Amino acid sequence: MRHLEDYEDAISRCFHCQICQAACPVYLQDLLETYCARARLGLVQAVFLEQTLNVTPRLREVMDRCLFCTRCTRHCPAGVPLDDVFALARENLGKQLGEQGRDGGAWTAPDAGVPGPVAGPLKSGLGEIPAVKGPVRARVAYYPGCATSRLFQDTGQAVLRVMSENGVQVMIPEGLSCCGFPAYVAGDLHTFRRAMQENLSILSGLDVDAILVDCASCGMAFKVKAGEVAKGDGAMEDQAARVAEKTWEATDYLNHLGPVAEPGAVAGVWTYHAPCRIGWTPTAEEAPEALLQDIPGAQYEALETTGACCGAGDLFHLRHGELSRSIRTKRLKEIRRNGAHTVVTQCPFCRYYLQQGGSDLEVMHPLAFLARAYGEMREA
Amino acid sequence: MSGLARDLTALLDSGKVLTDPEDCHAYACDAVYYFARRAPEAVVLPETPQEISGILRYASDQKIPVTPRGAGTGLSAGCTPVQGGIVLDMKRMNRVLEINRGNMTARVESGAVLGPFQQQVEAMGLFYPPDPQSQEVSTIGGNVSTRAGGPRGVKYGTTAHYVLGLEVVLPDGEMIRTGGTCVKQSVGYDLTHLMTGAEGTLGVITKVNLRLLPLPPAHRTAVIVCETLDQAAMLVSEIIAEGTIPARLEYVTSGAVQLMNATLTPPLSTDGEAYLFTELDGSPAQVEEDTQRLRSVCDRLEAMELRIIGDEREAETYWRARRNLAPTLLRLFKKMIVEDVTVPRDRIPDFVRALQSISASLGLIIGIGGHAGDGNIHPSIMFPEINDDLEAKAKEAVRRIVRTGLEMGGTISGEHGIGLHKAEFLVWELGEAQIALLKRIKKAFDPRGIMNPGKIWQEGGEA
Ligand SMILES: Cc1cc2nc3c(=O)[nH]c(=O)nc-3n(C[C@H](O)[C@H](O)[C@H](O)COP(=O)(O)OP(=O)(O)OC[C@H]3O[C@@H](n4cnc5c(N)ncnc54)[C@H](O)[C@@H]3O)c2cc1C
Ligand code: SF4
Ligand code: SF4
Repeated sequence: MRHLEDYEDAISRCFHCQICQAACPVYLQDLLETYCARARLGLVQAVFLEQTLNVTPRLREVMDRCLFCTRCTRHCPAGVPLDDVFALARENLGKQLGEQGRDGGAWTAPDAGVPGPVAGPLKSGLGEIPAVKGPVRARVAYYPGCATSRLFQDTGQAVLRVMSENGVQVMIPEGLSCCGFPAYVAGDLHTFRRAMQENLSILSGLDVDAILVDCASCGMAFKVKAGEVAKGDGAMEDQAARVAEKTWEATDYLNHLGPVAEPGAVAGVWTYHAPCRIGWTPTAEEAPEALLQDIPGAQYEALETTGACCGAGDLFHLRHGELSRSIRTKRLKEIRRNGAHTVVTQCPFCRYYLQQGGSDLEVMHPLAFLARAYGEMREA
Repeated sequence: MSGLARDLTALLDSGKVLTDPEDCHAYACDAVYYFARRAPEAVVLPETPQEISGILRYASDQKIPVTPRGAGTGLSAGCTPVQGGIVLDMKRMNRVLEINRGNMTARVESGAVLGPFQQQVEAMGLFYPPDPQSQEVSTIGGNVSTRAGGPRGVKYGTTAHYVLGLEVVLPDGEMIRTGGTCVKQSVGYDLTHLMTGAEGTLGVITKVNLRLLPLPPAHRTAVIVCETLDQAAMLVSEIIAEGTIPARLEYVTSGAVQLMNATLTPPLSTDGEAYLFTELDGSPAQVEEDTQRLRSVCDRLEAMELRIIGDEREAETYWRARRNLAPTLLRLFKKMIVEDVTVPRDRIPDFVRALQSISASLGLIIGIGGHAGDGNIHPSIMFPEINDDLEAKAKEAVRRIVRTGLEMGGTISGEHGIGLHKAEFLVWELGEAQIALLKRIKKAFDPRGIMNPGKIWQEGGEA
């Protein structure tokens, strides 16, 4: 396990260039520097490493008013791992204030209808896995996260359908559980590590070409964060490396493999909202356009700003409703200006939250849009 | 609640006044954080000139220091509240009030961020050239207050060349408008350009009138790989002497290119000792002609490689890597002191040689990377470790660099301003008589000495 002290060197790399101001949705909404990543980092350093400031309610408030979107980490030219530091800071805060992880307890499912972590083993509920059409080109494992298993089964069914149309044999391993990312975000690193250990022990033993996820956060957990919390435990590090190497976002994977099925026509204007946490793979942001642009009748209109947040931040929007709504309003304005009716995105939280704010829109996973085009093909 | 907090909340909405230690900590320094930091007693987030006027009147009355702050990207500790007091965060006053095509001018609030403003202007076929590399976040008020420049300085000059008029709140709370929106003005002392570059020591700039240009229709980016630093320096003067003034002409050394390669496809060869990143702009025919001329100069001086980047999106990856270079270097080094000494263009080869000899004699790594086209090559001292020995050597190196630059007819700051970081050397460039005059001017504006005290000159600056 890593501790804040292990990051002392990384923290001191901050050049105070302020470039993270341009990345942070919270700063851009509040226009108060305390909320930009550079200032948060400085606070963590002062409170937990230099002990020149105290733990106060204001500190808790500042550290909580962060979407954990990881955009600052992605944008920082000096390579400061800001979100890792923030997760550890939340852990330290929780310990000092005698609290358990936040987010209403990372392991209790919130109200029905709101995506969030599920306790216990994932029951995929996606029905039969359709038989592969044509020769088998690849064998993959599919990790349907909490949102897809419990709430958005249409995403999972679309992934299965699209893969089968393209010669990809899919299996869904037994015994998987939540990837633990919500616990990580809440600063409950212990729980995150335990969840990861369980999942890694299943996934790392599979003889497959790839492990597919449909959610940017699950992907980040497997691709990046598992290795980070495994540090110091040789066996777990090995497992994490094996899983990270094979982890793909499903849209990205199909685009990489090259689709063979011919989509039918779907009329309408669509656009792509890139989830903040998709940064773990540079090509996942290009995949939707590359894969969907050949759907006859569907017209792609790119959004002006490729990297703007929807405001959801897992369950952040439940505690910071006003802030989240303001961030979402900006994004929805941009989407409406752009004229798209369908918005595709690889994050169930973005999907849920944009949909809540835009009943005139339909928001879905990119492969669900492709599955619809395949559906048209069959009917035709 | 402290007395200050109570007084300020009587003047302003309580949401615009922050006095918690966490908030004050966030406003303690700029990008020379290692050089000076001091948390203010209060942070104020004004939204109108009237609010600022009220605060300044109160602060004058109580003799409380007030330091205006834009994005805090400064490289001279200009916005560091070294004597505490109130920090005025200007970033909520960020509206673009007018872009006038017919007059080719714009009017903005001073907290407007440069990058988005430039995009807005360019979408209308207009052009606002000044491009400090912090443009994604730095504010126009901060740019004006430091006379910020950037790669485009070589052809288009710096922020100072585009300021036509200002709205300013003076330290006693009085509001004035200097200049206007005419491209020529000849009325009294030029207070517009006295406020421009005043680093927040004379008053608070609330609105800025800017001159715009038509957007050049064609652009072409090229990278020249040079065998030696010397060859790069020669190329810089030759390219311009041949009659091509590039829109940008930047000097980058091989160590830096190795880091930048992480985001460049295909990566640049690392065989060179120095690299020139350049952009040509103008009409398509002009750009074509300039490209040919660039080719022939590179052939004649035997540059190792000339890479022309055809695609605009790809070109942007080079300029982004260049923009992010300073913070990127901290992936390799523990600390970096960026100097701003600027020499006349024809002295660049001499200056580069002098820097090499200073670095060799002191055993220091001195990076060179900057706006070569205008002689502003930012010698930067890199620290692989932080220790007293290196600190002492770095101090000595800075003194020698500054001396050398001045002897070559240069200046101690091309674009970052003096702030606190360079105050020590002001007397070398200006002499006592000029500094005494500056102090009298300061006193005329700010008799109570509340505006950003402790800056520009050392000791005794505050009225
Ligand atoms: C990565 C990086 C690259 C940079 N590259 C360049 C470059 O290429 N060229 C260049 O010139 N600079 C560069 N800089 C330095 C810096 O970005 C510029 O000096 C910029 O103009 C500062 O703007 P700011 O909004 O951050 O101002 P701040 O740093 O907040 O303030 C700068 C000064 O202006 C005063 N001030 C700010 N707003 C007002 C106002 N409204 N009224 C009165 N006074 C005010 C402050 O008191 C302070 O003295 C760079 C900095 C970084 C971190
Ligand atoms: S972008 Fe990175 S280096 Fe720059 S201020 Fe933010 S954290 Fe520091
Ligand atoms: S994770 Fe997102 S919200 Fe949090 S500081 Fe970074 S950019 Fe801001």
